[in-house]
Formats: sequence, structure tokens, C-alpha cells
Amino acid sequence: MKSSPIGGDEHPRPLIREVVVINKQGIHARPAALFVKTATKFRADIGIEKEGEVVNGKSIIGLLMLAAGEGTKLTLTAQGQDAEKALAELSKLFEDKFSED
Amino acid sequence: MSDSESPKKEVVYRGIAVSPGVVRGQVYVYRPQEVAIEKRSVRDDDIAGEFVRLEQAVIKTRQQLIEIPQHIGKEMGNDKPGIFDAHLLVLDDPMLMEQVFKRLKTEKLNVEFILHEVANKYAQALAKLQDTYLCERAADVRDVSRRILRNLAGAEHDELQRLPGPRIVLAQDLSPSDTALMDRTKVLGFAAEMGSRTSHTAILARSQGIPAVVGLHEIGREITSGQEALLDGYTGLLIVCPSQETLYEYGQIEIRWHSIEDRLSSLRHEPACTRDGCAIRLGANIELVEEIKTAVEHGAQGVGLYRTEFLFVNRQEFPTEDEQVAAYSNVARAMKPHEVIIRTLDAGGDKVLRGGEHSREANPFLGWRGIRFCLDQPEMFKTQLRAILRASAEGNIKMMYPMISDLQEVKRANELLNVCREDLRREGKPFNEQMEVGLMIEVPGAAMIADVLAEHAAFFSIGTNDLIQYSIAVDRGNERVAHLYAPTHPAILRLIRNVVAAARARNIWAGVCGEMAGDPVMVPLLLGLGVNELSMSAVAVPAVKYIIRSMSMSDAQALAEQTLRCGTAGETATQLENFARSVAPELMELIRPNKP
Repeated sequence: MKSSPIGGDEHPRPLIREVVVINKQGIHARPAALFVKTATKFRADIGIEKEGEVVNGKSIIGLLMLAAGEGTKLTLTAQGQDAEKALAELSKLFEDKFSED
Repeated sequence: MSDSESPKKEVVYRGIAVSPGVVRGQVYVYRPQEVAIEKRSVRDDDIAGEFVRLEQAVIKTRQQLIEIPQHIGKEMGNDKPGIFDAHLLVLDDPMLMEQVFKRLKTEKLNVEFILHEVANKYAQALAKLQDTYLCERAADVRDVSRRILRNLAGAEHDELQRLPGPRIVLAQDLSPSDTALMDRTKVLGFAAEMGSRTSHTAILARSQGIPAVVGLHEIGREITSGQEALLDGYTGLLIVCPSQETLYEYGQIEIRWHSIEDRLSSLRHEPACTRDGCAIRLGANIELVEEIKTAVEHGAQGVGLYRTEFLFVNRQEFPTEDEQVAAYSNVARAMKPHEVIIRTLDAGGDKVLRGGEHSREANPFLGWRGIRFCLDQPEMFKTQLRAILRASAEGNIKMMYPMISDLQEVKRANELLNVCREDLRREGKPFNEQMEVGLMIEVPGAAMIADVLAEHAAFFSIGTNDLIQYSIAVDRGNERVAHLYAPTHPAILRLIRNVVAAARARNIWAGVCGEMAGDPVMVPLLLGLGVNELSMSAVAVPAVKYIIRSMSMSDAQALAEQTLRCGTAGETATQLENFARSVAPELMELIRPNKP
């Protein structure tokens, strides 16, 4: 296991980022798969929260069950060494409308 | 299977014919056995053992999910059927496994029971989301958990690999994992309760030349393995315990087919030319490159409709440009120098994509489908347009847009096409600058403004199946009104006449690619109305060519004039039958044997 150059803290505080679903079709098949694929690239634990319901960001079932349509506000959390990078990439997916529309 | 007294009386079930041919034999009812799930407690010491069992079953499952697609890929000429990607995603889903692990620790029950419970819970939650796509994900979760459970139980997956003999396989539905390892030499035919022309069973059956009927609603309970049956993939019938009369009738048909088949196949290399010297182009409707062989064998001189949905269904992601270029080029090269008309993606209606973002619609046939779907997803659409353009360098490719209802759609699609042309020129990728771009006319509104549309099209292809159902407002799948579905309805004749007239005025050609084009009784009418090209399922080509070579264009024109004066579909139909009987009596005796 590689340790982080700065401090090597194994359990830093979770980072949080608010996102809004702006692609017309919401988090359906393709976006969900894209999100999970991206999330699994990182070692950090990823969570998504919608109205108090939290699911594992590396779970396609979890993501689909959120049924997040256009306009839904979601909270992304990431905890782990590469959390910051993960959040940056994941929230970019939302901004880019998952390359749709 | 319910009771001991199996019905001895003939029973006829009606479904959708999706792959032609008639076969007779014993039925094999394929019902993938649900593994019995017992609930038992596990001692603390044995919990670790349960984890190990689950882990081994998951490893085995993953191996199967990776191997099966490779096997099917070889069989179907498609290197990666996407459905298994979806299954792998489910298998590797942390949420599913985390839940199983957690409950295993706290509840101390056997792993089968817990896995079954957890998978069911998720499947039910997904199914409740009222969305076609998510409902199918629910099926994936169930499929995967069933596979793991079978591996836990050491059960077989390959029932169809060990059929007791040649059988007609009856199933609720057949998934790629069911058919992956099946022994083709023992499958006489497929009968499925669910499905449509584009379902896996249908596509597989057609590519393998196995007769198939789907959409036989809930018949599984009434039929048991071992019963004699006759499957008619021409008309869509499954006849269980056929009577002596039925067998005799089919036997007669078979004898007559054989006698005329020789004559028909001798026409293979002859042109489709009327007695007075008018030539008509006969194309085949295809979905897979494998179907080209059948098309050529039956004497088709091109592909009048190449459906591209097959590339898009059952997968997570849209196919890449290169993947599409490869598929289209294959067909173009195989058909060279004959033409191949590629229809851009016609998703929606009854052709729902798995990987796409279709939600459930109240009226899918009036909804987000065809060109509408594509124009809303310009990136996906441009990928297809670029792929078609690039493939046009490899053969005689033409392209058409489905479901056009409005001029604006044509303009927008052509704008996107022009952007693609520009890009390809800049990238130095070759394509045919003169590739013809046509429109499918299947919406009555489009047929009425054909004169306006003709200015923006190189040709028209009339899709009669949809045109008829939209014009008469009849859903053919609805038994109560299905009898109203009539290709000979006066409205249809007038619409076709209108389209052909508009095409003539702009000096472009008009073809027909619906089922009407493959019906020898309808063909004289279509020719008389001025249609220049007909495209049909490959097996229909010989009979259509036969009737064309038996008639004269001047008689056909007179027939069209005469039928345009008919007030009802029935009157028109009678006149058409009489005409066909007078020019090709021996053919009619075969295809309409019961009429005097």
C-alpha cells in the first residue's frame, strides 16, 4: 500500500460536493455506468446522497435505484487518499451532462 | 406440469412469425429450473465456510459470463454481446455483495437464502421504478443471482446442450445465456411466449435458419414436453397434437412447395422483369451480415432495407464509430456491386433499446422513436452518420431516415450529415460524395407532403407496416382490432399513389419495404401504382419474382386503376386475388390453397 506523501493519513475527513443533474434523461443506464466506471478508478470510498438516502457510488444498482432525474440535487462524498481528484472528475461528469444532450 | 391427461385434441396457437419454415416434431418445454432455496441456520464456526462457498460460486459465475460471450461472438459474428457486460456489472456490484456479507454475519443463515433475498429485494425495487430500462436491470439482477445459485448448487446451465433428440424448443423467452451452448443440430424450431421480430430469439433463429414463432402468450402451462407439434414459421402458428387433416394439409403444401421450388430457384439469376419488359429491383430486408448469403441464394439483387438496431440493442454503451464502420462495410462488400440501403437507427415503438434512455411511454408508436430519437441525441446520431459515410467508400451504399413526419426533420438530419461530411473531408477519410440519401415514408402525414419532401430526397422507401397501422389507426397486436389491419384499404392505395406521383414529378425513385412488398398478391398492384423497387424478407423473393415474370406492366396498371375505384379493402383484395390467380395459378394454389 502506497502512503500519501503529505502526512499519509489513511482516513482523512470525507470531502463533500453538491451537484445537480442537468442532462435531460437523468441518471439512467449510460450515465450510471459511466459514473460507476469512473468511481471505481479511485481508491476512495464514494457515496451519493439524494434526499437523505445514501448509496455506494461504485454500485450500479445503487445508482439506478436513486432514480435521479433532471434537476435532482445530489451530494457526492469521497473519503480516501485520492478523494479530491475523484470528486473533481465525478462532478465534471455532471457538468458535462455525461456527454449527452 | 399440471396433470396426467395431456390434450389429444389439436390446439392451434397464434403468434408472430419471425423466422420462416415449417417443422414437425416433439416439443421440449425449456423452463430453466429454479433452484430450490431452503433456509437453514449456520453455526458460528461455519460462517467462514459460507463466505468461501459464495466466493467460489462468484468466481465461477464470472468465468462463465466472460466465456459465454466469446462463444456467442463466434456464432453470431458479433464480438461482444453487451448483455453480459450488464451481468458482469451486477455481479461485481459492491452493494449487492456488501449486503450479502453483512446479513450473513448478522443473521447466520445459509448463503443461498440470503443471496436470494437480497437479489430479490433489489430486483423488486428496480422493477418498481416504472421504466423499461430499469425493469430490464431487474431481470439482470435475477439472472445473475440465479446463475450464482445454480453454481452454489452445482447445477447445470446447459440443458439445451443435451436435448434428448431433435426438438421444437418452447420457452418463455430465450436469453443469450440460454442459447449460448445449445446444440443447434437438435433444435428444430423455437416457440417463445415473449418477444418480437427484434428479440434475441428471433435474430438468432433467422441467422441460423431455424423456424421460429414468438409472442405465443402464456402457452407454456398448457403444453408438456414430448407432445407432438407442428411449427409454422411462415404464418406464425404452433399446432399442438396436429390432426391427421392438418398433417395432410401441410404435407400437401410441402410436396407442392418442393415441386415449385425447383422452378423458383431456377429463376435465381433471372431478372425480375414483366412480360412486357419492365424491370423491377428486388432487394432483401436484412439485419445481420449472415443474412446476405440467404438473400443472394434467393435471388435478391441488393439490400433494400438494412436495419441497424441490432448493433444497438442489448448493450450498455452505443456502438463505436469503428464498430459500425466494420459492420456496414461488411454488408456493403458482401453485396457489391449491388446496392445496400442502410436505415439509420429506428429505435422506439416496439424496438426499445436496452442501453438507450427510453422511458416507458403511454403511446410508444406515437412517441420518441425513429428520427426523433436520433435528432435528440446528435452525438450518437453523428457517430452513425459518419460510420455510414465511411462505409460508403466500400460499396454501393445508400442511406435513409426512418419515421420522417416533417420537412424540418429532414433538414436537420441533412445538416448533421453535412457537418459529418465536412469533418471527414478535413480528416482525409474517404467516402462517397454522391451517396444517395432517401426518406422512409411510413407516416401518413409524410405521404401527404411527399411533394415537399421529394425536393430534399434522392428516393422514397415506403414502409407499409407502419403506414397502414397509422393510417387506419389499428394496432396489429391488439386482437380485437387486428382484423381491421388491411393493406388493401383504399386509403393505403391513395397514399402510395400520392408518394409515387410526387417522386415521379421530381424524377426520384420510390420503393416499398414493408410486408406488402413480399406478398405476391400485392405486388401487381404496387407495380401498377408505379413503384420502382421492392424489398422483402429474402425467402419471399422467389415467389415475388415469379409473379412479376408472369404478368405484364400494362395489365398491372389497369389493375391499379380499377382497384383505386374500390370502396372497401375487401373489394380490392378480391380483385387482387383474382388477378394473381389468372396470371400465376400454380403459385396461388400454394400460397392461398384454401380458396376456390
